[in-house]
Amino acid sequence: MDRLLGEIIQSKDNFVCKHTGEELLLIPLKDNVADFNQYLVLNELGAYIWDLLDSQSTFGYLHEKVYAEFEVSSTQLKTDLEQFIVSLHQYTCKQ
Amino acid sequence: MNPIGSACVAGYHFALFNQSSLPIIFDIGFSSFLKEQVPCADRNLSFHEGFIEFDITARLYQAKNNDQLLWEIVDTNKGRWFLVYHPENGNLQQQAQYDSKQGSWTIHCKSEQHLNEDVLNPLAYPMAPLLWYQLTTEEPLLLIHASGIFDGEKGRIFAGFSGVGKSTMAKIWQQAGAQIINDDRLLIKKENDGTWRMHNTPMYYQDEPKSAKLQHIYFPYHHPSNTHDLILGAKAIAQLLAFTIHHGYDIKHLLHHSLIAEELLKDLGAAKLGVVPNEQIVLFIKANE
Repeated sequence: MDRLLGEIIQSKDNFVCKHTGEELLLIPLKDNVADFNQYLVLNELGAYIWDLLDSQSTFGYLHEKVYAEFEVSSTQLKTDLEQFIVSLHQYTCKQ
Repeated sequence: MNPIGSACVAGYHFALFNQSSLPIIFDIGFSSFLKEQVPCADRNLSFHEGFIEFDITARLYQAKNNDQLLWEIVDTNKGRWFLVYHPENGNLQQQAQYDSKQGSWTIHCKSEQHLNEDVLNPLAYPMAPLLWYQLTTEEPLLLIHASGIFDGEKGRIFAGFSGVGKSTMAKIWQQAGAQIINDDRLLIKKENDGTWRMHNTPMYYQDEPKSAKLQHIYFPYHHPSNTHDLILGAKAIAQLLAFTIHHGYDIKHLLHHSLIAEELLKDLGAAKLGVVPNEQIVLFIKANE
């Protein structure tokens, strides 16, 4: 998971991020041009995780922060967080 | 030097300064947008004869239509310039420099023959749309691929790329008594009173300046039946931005446009619209608003 996280973090500069309400709009940049056909909308939790992602972030760190912020069981959070990171990695690294 | 007149687009006044000894002409689409009076200018346009020499040190951005280069931004030993090209033969048509602090454009072009006279045509396409685009990066404006209609009560825009039925939709509404503001390109502006209006811009054909209050935004697509699906939040912003005109040379412009789009969509409804292109769509839309 930490390897995937590292690759997501490396790709963050390739996106324009726009917070709107509780959602976060990600717009990929290709050759410095926004590609609106490939945008992604993250919900409140996804946006919270995206904003946490920096060079210090590990799976354990994210788990700890999300667990403290949202009402969710630790086991369920681990499963959901893994699925989210895999999906987010597929999206960010295919752009 | 006194201005020779002004051009008014979407309520913004462009003062026109002729720094050459030649007469200035404009594309036919400008004719109803030009005024002899010069109210308090929002931007200044200064026209010069001939090109200047400089050495290009970097090419920063190129705007193309299919494979045709329309304009590019270059760094030179004499600052940053827009180089604007003829849309068909690709020849250099204008050199332009923008001073954002002064709100002033300096535009150089070569003379051409018009009615047996040497003249300058400094805003020949695609220079003018570049002016409107630059304006959107600094003002509460979006430049959008859309048709816009006003039926006497409400203004609606139908946004989409070529082929989704923007012009067809505009004609259907026109047959139902509505006014077409434009069927291809519009400026959407947040007015000082907080309302939103759509404005036409000078096109390649003659038309009067038109504007109307804007209430609804639609994203039409061909469908076997008429359908109406509201879109909200970030998806609506992305959908709207997909049809607004952007150039990627400064990410701040995109962030500015996304902020305007967010404000717009807080105030107005947006929906995806499955369309059967006949007169029934007018009643269908009104019934779903």
